[in-house]
Amino acid sequence: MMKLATTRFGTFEIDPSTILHFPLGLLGLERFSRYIIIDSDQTAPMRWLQCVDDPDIALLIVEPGMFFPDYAPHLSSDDRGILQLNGDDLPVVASVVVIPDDPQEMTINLLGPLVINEEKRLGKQLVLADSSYSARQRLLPDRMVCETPVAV
Amino acid sequence: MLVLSRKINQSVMIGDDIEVILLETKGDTAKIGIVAPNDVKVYRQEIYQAIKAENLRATQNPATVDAASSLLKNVLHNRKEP
Repeated sequence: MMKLATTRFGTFEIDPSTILHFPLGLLGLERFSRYIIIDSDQTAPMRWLQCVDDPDIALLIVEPGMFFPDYAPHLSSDDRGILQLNGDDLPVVASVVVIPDDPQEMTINLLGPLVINEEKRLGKQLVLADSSYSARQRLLPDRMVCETPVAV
Repeated sequence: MLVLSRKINQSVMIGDDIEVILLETKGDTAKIGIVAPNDVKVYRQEIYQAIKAENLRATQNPATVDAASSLLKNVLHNRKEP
C-alpha cells in the first residue's frame, strides 16, 4: 500500500497496482502520468480521475456511451500499441466532464476521449482530429424542451 | 522562430522524414501538405488547444458536482422507463 495525499479527498492509502498510467499524460497536463479512479455515490455516474503526482489535480470523467450510445472513437494501431491491447480487445472509454457554476450547462469532451486498458492499467487521451465531435458537447437535454406535451 | 519563404510546390524538411509542402495560396489562406511517418501525429492547432483547454477547465474542481450528479442520474433513470 502507499499513501496518497489529495487536496479534495485528504490523505488515504491506495494499492499501487490500481494506478493507471498515461505514458503521454493528458493534453496540457503532460507532466503527470499516474492517476487513480475514485468512485462515489455522490458523483455517479461520474468518477474522479485523481492525479497521483499532484494532489491538486482531479478531473471528473464519465463513460460517454451512457449518453451517446453511438459514440465509438477509432483507435489507430499505434494507439492500440501504447495501450497494449490484444486482438479485438476494446478499451474502456471515458470523457472529461466540465461542470460550470450552473450544472445544467455541463459539457463532455467527445473530441479528446480517454481510452484505458483496465487489465494493463494503461491509458491515453485520443485526439479525434477527423471527426465532427465537440470538445464541449452539452451533456444534458436542453432545459427548454418539455418531454410531455402540456395541455392548454 | 524560423521564418522561410516558399513558392508553390516548394517544401521544407523537418528532420529527415517530415516534409511540409506549400500547395496553394488564396487570399489569406495557404494550403499545405504534410508528409510524415505514421507515428507522427499531425493536427490543426485549434483541436489540440480545445482539448487542452477542457482538461484544464476540468481541474478547476467545481462546487456543483452533487447537483450535476443528480441531473445525470435523472437523465439515465428517465431513459430506462418505457
